Amino acid sequence: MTRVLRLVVALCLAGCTGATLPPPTVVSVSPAQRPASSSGPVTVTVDAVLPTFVDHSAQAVSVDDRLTLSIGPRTFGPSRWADAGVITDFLPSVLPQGSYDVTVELADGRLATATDVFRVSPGTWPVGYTIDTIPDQHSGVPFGVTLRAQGGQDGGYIGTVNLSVPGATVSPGISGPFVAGVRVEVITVTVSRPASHQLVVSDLGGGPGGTSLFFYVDR
Amino acid sequence: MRPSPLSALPTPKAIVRSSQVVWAPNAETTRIDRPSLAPAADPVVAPPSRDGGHAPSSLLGLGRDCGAIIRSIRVVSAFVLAVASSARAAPVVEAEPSRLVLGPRARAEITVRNAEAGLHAAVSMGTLTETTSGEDFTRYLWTPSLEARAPTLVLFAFWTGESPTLADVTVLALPCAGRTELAIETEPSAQVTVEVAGARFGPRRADRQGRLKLPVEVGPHAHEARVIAELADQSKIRVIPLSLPPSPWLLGLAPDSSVDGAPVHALVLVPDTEESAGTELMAEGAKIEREQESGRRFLFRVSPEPGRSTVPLLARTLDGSVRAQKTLEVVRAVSPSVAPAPPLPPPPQRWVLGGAIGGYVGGGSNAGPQAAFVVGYGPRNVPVVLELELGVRSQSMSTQVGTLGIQDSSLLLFPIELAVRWEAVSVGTFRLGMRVGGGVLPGSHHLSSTFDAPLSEAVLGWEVFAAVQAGLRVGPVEPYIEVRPALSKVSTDHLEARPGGGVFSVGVRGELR
Repeated sequence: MTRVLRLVVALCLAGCTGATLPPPTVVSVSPAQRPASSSGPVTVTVDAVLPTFVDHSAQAVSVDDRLTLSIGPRTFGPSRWADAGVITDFLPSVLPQGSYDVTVELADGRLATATDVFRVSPGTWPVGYTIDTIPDQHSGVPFGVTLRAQGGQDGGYIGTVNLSVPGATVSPGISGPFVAGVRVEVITVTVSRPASHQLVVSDLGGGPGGTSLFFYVDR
Repeated sequence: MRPSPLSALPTPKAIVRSSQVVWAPNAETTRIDRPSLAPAADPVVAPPSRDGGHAPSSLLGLGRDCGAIIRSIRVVSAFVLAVASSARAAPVVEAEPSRLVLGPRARAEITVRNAEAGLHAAVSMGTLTETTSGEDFTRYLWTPSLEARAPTLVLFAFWTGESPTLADVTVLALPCAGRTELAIETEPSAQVTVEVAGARFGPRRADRQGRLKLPVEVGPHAHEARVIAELADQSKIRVIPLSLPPSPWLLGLAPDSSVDGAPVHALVLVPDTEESAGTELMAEGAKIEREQESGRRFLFRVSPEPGRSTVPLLARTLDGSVRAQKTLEVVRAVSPSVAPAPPLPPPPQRWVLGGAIGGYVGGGSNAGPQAAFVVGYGPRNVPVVLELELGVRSQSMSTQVGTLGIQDSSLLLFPIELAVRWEAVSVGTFRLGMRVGGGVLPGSHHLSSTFDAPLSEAVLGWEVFAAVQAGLRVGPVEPYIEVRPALSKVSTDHLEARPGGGVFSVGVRGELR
């Protein structure tokens, strides 16, 4: 009897009602290293107990699955917990050479940082880009454009490029991955008034990039 | 001269005339008449006859000149004299008083010292009762037989152990005297004195008819009485031989009974007053062997024949006079496991042990099995029992959470509750009781899912309840059912549950004896 009471008291003193949830952990990053001039999917595996509340009377469960994941300065992956913590996302070639932390933060503020777990090595960049002729377009209407990398690594460039249209806005700002040095990207150019514009591509390699011929964009 | 047969008659109130003396307890007179005071040819007291009815004409004569002074002697009441002797050293035995006179108030205190454990005692006559005992002594009270009036030498024997030798036996002899009153007829105004074993009684003067009564005490070692009659300058001494009844012998058994026919020792002690020759121990249905002999002490080995349940024993003289008798009981060995233990009185309190299993329904996922172990304590005569209940309950739920997956939650509790149970109705074997109580619900909560890591946390809830029980008394146990409305709650940052509501269980309990 005394022993039981002592146990109960000890449990209460120890804060037995409930538990402090453990911080999340970054289990792995795959691949953990790649050249700066390449792009592709990266998988980050996270282990965490999501903030959960179970009401047996209402037979209801609420889970706050909000999530913030980043590799270095770049936000990575979805904003909510998915796939049991195995987060896979496309990472463009936007990180210069260096080592990067992977950080995960849950909705209740629990945070975990895996230091220098993703390393970027020097890449082999194209010497330039050519852009196929772009016919006249309408503002805000997506259209395809073919980008061709000149030179670079064997087998062709597989990175991404930054897209810009001076005097207008273009979406997306970063292209998808090149395949064997070629990328067909669907972009949307929005203008405030009809005019002729050029599409400009560039990369982190510091090369000359590429500029298209003028094309007319009306409203 | 033939001895005067002073042996006791079958009944103490009988009057013996002339040649007989009766040990009458209360002033019943025995006459020894001498009707004629004529000059006697033989001035000596005529020896009384043994036939008890026809006294000689002269008991005590004092000669022709002075005439018969003593005309008759009447013996009234009882007499006594005592001499004590202790035989052995260890254990040491003392008697207080060391001699006594038989009578209604006669008794002696016997103290035994230096005795080891397992002290045994035997006595030749009367009753010996242990009264007190201390660290190094045991005290007995001896009282004579109610009918004992005649002088007797009472023997006591003390020893330790179940198989003593004569050297282990301490013997005490307690002389017990008899008191009586002599009624004497002699010459008028004669001065009469009686001497018995060195003790003088009188003188006392006869009345004008020559009669007087003189009380005397006679011990077991006395053999004669000297009657001295004096008148003027004449005196006459007459000697009366006394024939006392033989003192009983001591016949003791060690051990007191024979177990499964095993031999026992028979101790026979013969008082030094015994005049008949020889000692023998007779048994019916047993073999007798004399093992030791030392003076008047004998140690026999008595081996009962198979099948005997009793063996009568007689200690007697060689002429066949029985001096002591005893019956040896032959008992069967009793196994301790066979002997039923006497029932112990029930203690004033009672302990109740019980257990119950069942389930509970509290709404939503608050449902599951439950079991409990109950210890109760209460006064036996009050229908209230304080109970400690240690239980276990379990409940779980499984829920699909959006597109994440399935979330499982399981709760395991170990209720620790105190309750008071009132046995409200008890009719025949039917019992109806009420319970109220409450306690804490410690336990653990486990979360697991298909999409995140599992979590276990300790929980502590509470519960208060009231319950109704109905049971039937079946022998030493009482099966019962219980319905218990309960208000309970367990909550943490991750859980809220009410593992109570309605608790239904069946159980059984019984009182510890």
